[in-house]
Amino acid sequence: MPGDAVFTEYPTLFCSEAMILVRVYIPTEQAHDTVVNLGMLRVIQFVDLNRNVSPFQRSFVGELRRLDQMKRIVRNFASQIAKDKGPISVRSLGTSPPFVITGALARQRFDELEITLREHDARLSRMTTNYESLSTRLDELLEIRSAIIESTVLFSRLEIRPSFDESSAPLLQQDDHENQLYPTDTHTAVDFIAGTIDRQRFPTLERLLWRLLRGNLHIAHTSIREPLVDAATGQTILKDVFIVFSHGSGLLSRARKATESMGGSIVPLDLDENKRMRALHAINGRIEELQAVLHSTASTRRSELAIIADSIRTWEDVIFREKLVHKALNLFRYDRRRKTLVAEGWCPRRDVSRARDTLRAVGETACSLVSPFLHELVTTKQPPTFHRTNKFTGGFQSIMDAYDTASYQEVNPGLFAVITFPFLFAVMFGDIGHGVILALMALPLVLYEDKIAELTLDDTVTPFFHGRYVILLMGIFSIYTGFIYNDIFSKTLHIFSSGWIAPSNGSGFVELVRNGRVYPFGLDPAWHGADNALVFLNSLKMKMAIVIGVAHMTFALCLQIWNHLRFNRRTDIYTQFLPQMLFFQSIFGYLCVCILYKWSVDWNAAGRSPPSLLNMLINTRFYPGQGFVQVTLLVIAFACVPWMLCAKPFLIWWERRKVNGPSYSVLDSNQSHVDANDEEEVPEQEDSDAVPDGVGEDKGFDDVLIHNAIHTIEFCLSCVSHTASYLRLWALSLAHSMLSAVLWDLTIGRQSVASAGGITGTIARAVVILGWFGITVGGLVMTEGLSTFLHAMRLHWVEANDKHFEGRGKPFRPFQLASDDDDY
Amino acid sequence: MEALFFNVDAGFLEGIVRGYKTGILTQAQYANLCQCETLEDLRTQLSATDYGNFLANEPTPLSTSTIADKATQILVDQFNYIKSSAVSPLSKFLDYITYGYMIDNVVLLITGTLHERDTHELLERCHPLGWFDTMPALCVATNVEELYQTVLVETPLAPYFRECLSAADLDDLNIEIIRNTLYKAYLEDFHAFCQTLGGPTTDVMTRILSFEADRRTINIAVNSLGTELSKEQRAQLFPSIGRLFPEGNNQLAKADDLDQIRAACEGVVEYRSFFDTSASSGQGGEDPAAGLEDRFFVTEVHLNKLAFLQQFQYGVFYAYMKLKEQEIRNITWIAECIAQEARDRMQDFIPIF
Repeated sequence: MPGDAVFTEYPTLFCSEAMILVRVYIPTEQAHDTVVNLGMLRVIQFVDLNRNVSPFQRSFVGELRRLDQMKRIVRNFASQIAKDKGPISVRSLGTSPPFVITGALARQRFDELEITLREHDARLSRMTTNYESLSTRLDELLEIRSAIIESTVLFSRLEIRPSFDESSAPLLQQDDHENQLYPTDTHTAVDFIAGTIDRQRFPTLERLLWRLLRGNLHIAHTSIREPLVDAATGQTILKDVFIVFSHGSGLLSRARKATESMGGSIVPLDLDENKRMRALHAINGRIEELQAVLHSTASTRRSELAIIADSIRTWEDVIFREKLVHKALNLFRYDRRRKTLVAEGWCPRRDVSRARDTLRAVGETACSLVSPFLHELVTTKQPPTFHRTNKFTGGFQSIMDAYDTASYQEVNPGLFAVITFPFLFAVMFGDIGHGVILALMALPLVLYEDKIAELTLDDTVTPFFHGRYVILLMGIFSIYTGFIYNDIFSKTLHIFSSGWIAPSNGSGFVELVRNGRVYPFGLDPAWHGADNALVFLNSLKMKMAIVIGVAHMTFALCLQIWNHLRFNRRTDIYTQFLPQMLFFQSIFGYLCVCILYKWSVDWNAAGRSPPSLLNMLINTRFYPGQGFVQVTLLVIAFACVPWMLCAKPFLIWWERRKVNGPSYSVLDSNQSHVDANDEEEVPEQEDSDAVPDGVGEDKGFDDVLIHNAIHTIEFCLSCVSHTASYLRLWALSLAHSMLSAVLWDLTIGRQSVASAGGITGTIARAVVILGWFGITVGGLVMTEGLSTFLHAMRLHWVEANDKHFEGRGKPFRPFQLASDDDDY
Repeated sequence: MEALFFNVDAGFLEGIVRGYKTGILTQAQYANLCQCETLEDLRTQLSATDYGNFLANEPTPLSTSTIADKATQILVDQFNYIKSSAVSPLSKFLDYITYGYMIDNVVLLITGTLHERDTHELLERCHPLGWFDTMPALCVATNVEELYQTVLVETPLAPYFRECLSAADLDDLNIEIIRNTLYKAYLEDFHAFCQTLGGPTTDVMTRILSFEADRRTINIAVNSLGTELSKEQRAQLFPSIGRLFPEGNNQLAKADDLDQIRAACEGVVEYRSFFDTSASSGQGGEDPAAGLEDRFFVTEVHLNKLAFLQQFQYGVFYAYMKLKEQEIRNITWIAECIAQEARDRMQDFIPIF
């Protein structure tokens, strides 16, 4: 089939590019550079030739592992840079010196890079370990200091007797006999431990200690105000300091063990306040020392990180590209006899010569006797679909691609969407003012596109930037339909003189009279504010929606012909296209003719009221000979149904009988052609995957019957529903104009706003106008615009595409050294 | 009725769990894993499965324990995600699942303390799902009474533990008795709870828990042969649920050798094969437990897979946890085989799908 692919001299969007399957023979030593260059060219989509080799048994898996290691190191750098206190500026990729990954020295450069990374990694991890152990020590000291400071409150609250004893000598002597009861000295008369623990876990610890010591304890705690660093996780947490008093070293040691197991830490505290103060001083001194050391460690670490940050983007980029290259290399087959790699891939026919030139250039650069060369294959496999778009058509094409990828070389609805999409949008969005706003929003994006493209955009702006031409066209078309509806911010423009004048003596409700003129373009401004304006507009827009819809669908239906001719299905024109067209036109085409006829007749001059289209089929006299025409059309329409239903299955059955009549079957000419062309080295798998991609004629006859029946029923029903669906053009346009009218009336149009005088009035007017403008842009243009956009998209996807679009293609994804999906 | 209102509270979570279930490794993926030559290959191969790049940030000399830990961590994260959005009675059901892990952790800590292992090392080996606040304090306790009074009294395990208080000292045998008593109480309690849920949950969970109980009963019987455990004590450890209860349990309590155990299990058709084939496979004679254990696992996997055939019931949550645990065991097994270059035994894992 690709043999007769449509190939035009210039790229066209009418159908997808002609593709051919190419086989590239690459000398092993040039494989890397070749793939890099092809990746920059972006014209070949490589096919996996090792489908039955599991990922870790492929040739370049060792390289990939190495790259994974390097990637891990770089990722570690990035997280260290992000974690460091104080920002470290990372040099962006654009400003970094490029890292060339091709050429004779590339291998060596890359090895050097690996060594550099390892050195940095070793150095950084050493510094980090140092830094972390120091800061852990510091955190511990800080914790002890806080514990000492905060525990002062606890000790003062407790009024411990021994401290009282100590400060006054006479009492001590008096209590001598008391002391003899206790074998220990006063300091240990009351035993205690002190410690700190996560504030949330304190209640648990308290309960636990209570049970563990069977209630023989006194526990006091207070919160440490400043947050401390948890040694285990590195997070800052709030802690409590507590003191547990109890008897006996056994109990206390158990309490100590329990505290430690619960994640608390024991702080050595002394009962004597002076000793505590001395300890505090000592700790303060050590903290200062540590902080000085820590500071110098941190600054060396920072300077190391700064060196890394200087080139980390380059490294990330290099590793990413190398990974893509080696993944591509893994798709290739290795030919042992000739020491070459064999790659296969799809390439647009237009670009084959460019690919050849690139390959030759690679060979010349390498100063090698053999350069990689490219060989075209003939195949029956279905090629991928590739629409060559530019910055203008890209937006429209991506709207249609979002529905489904077109089959290879079928008519591309994206081409027509360039005009029909903004037009259908504008029919619903028709307002000069809103159109101007929309166009003005897109205009700077278009005018400064080169500059904007260089910026890194965030996710909200990117879609607008990609669709800038779509938005611009939508705006311009809306201005056009706005003129037709004569609608600007719900007001009208009196460009030409109106065809109606008010009678001179009227008051209150007056009936305008014609003055014989016809308003030359669009809607007569006299309708604005008229009592029957809505009735008139509804009738006009509803009928217009039907006419536009039928025209759009008829056009879409005609696109079938090209597909039928293109895919050698000539009979489908008679069995599918023709009955569908007749059915559709004899019912809905006739309706449109009647609408246009009704508009074209001056019913006042004819001297009777205009007939209702609703009753047309039943009794209304419209034009002479109406009955005969209508009955004929109806008969044609009904006759088309069995035609659609039976003709195609019958033809297929007839063909089959002719083929199966003789006892042998005809060889598929394409298939034999391939076999002749293939070289001896092609392995068996080639044939195995050619079969499922092939034409697949062997569908059961009942399948065909059922499929055709469903298709027929669906088409007949969808004619009605799709035509009705185009009424959304009327509904949306009406809703839009009503919304903007209501907004005007509630803000600027209010009597109180318009008539307010003085400075306050001016300020009030300014505020109201600003508010009105804000709501107009935010609500009417953006939100309403988005909803209208979705409706226009639906009309294209469902109503129009249903008539011709097959959408069974696979998108063409050329190998390139940049990827959208960053899953590595 | 459960079909009418089940989805109000648990429909979303059931969907999530069924989604998780589709990520369980298939036979084809196991076949790929078994082809791996090194643990690096295994990492590459696992990254193509639902595990994704869970090992991407691990430095090169990969150890089997890292793989197991990371895989467990994924399971724990999934469980916690489900648990955080569950409401009663599903949340209660999920709590019951964690009790099993708590028992394991408690026993692990007691045993470790008894043998004077390092506390931190022990805590690291505890299953994260069985973690409770006062768990580290278990290391402090020195006898059963204290264990209960200080630590376990405020955990959900307290009611189970009450029956163990008769055991006086902590030694290996007593710990084993504690473990089994706890499990017995846990299974009976869980079983009773599942009966209150009604509907298909009861059906499915009764099936699974009965097997679990029988498995424990048989294991206790087999392992207590030739030990100093008296027959009365043995009988007390048997859960009072399961398909062997009561007469099978009675016979098992009195059994003196493997043949009598086999005879006791004759009553249940499905259990007959456990012993039949173990004798014929050759390794049965001396060490019947090894072959038996594998068959138990196979049956467990089978039962848990059956749980997914019914909708509108909580059994899927339990079954998913068990299947995933089996999968982690499988991966660890394969990884061990690769690490120790025992490729011939690599196929001995238990396939799930």
